[in-house]
Amino acid sequence: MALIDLCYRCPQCGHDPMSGEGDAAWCASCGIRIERSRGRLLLSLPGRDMPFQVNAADLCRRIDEHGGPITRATRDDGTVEYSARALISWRVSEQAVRYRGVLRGFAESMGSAIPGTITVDRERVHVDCGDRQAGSWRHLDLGAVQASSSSLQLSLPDDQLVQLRFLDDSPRRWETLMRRLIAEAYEGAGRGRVVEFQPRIVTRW
Amino acid sequence: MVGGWYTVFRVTLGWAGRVLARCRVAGRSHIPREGPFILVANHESILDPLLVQSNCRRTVHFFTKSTQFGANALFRWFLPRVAAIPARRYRVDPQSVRTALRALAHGDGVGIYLEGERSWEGALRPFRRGSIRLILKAGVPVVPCCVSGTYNAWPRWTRSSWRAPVWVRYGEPLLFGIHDTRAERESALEPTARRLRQALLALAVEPPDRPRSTGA
Repeated sequence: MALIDLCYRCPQCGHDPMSGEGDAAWCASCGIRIERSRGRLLLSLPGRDMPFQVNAADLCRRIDEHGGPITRATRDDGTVEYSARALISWRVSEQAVRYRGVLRGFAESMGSAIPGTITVDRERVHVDCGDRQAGSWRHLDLGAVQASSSSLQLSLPDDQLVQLRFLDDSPRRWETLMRRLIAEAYEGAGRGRVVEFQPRIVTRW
Repeated sequence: MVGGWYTVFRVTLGWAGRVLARCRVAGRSHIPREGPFILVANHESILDPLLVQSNCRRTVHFFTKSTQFGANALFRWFLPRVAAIPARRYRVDPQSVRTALRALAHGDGVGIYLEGERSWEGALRPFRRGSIRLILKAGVPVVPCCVSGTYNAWPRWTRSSWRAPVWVRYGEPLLFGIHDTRAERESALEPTARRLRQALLALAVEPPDRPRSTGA
């Protein structure tokens, strides 16, 4: 986890991706630097000595105004294709959680993580890790999408659950990208506006 | 429904929160002394569960993402003892709702993070509709609780924490009434969410060293 998980592209000029390490991020294009210091986010502009304090919500809003993750995922011909390396694990079972003999609920057990890639386009998401469960699914067939800590979880058809821990990309970027593409797929198919992505995708007219 | 471990952890973590996290608490008198209630809170940091639950004198069964129960052996042992209810976030989970309703029937409190996850940017996110439906179905008093400052202390996107001042403020209980039918719950969904959002925002403390969002 790092600041570039939050600021995956430059809030100032929109350059994508931001560079960074730990609690610092910097833009290779315009030269701004954002750093967490004593719990505060400080932004330094190139050529100015004094950093000033910024609000994380404002940084995220600026990133969204620049197009969020869509710009980098869109090719010159207008098609969308984006991929990233990830450690991929699949749910192997669900176990009952009991306390003092009373059932409180269920928790999933995830299998071992395998290195692989996730690729998305406007229609589908492809998960490739050399495992028999790997495959490709239409956005319209996904059950839910959510970020869990630093991972992305996708609910797939046939009650499958895949969890992706990105090796060199931002889970927030992927959460936003997946949700946008799914929302566009639903609207494109005339199935309404997505109002909720978890625990299941819900649409409204 | 919970044993002595709950009290041990509540007292220990409450002390740690006040001393180590410089946590200031207000409005505890709004928590009902007896009878069922639902505690709703915002969620900015991994510290929130410790601070919200440990500063509440009543037993509160909090919905907790189910992946935490499988994270490691310590969590598997610890979480049921602090009355955590495993909730599968990738599907509708009727068992977690049953467990919550059973806790309310027993006269305990149930805790819900209405956003369903930690905020990336420290701002209140949209509320989960299923959580609002549970509130409307249960019909018990709802105590809003706003945690401020934990985003500065330990935001979601970093591994490092900072000893920033933290506020936990409990608000006056809200009553929404029992909505027995699905149609009643659906029609009350939006106004209830709006009222809860207003209640949480009204309790928020803007940390002195954190700039207000420009909203621009």
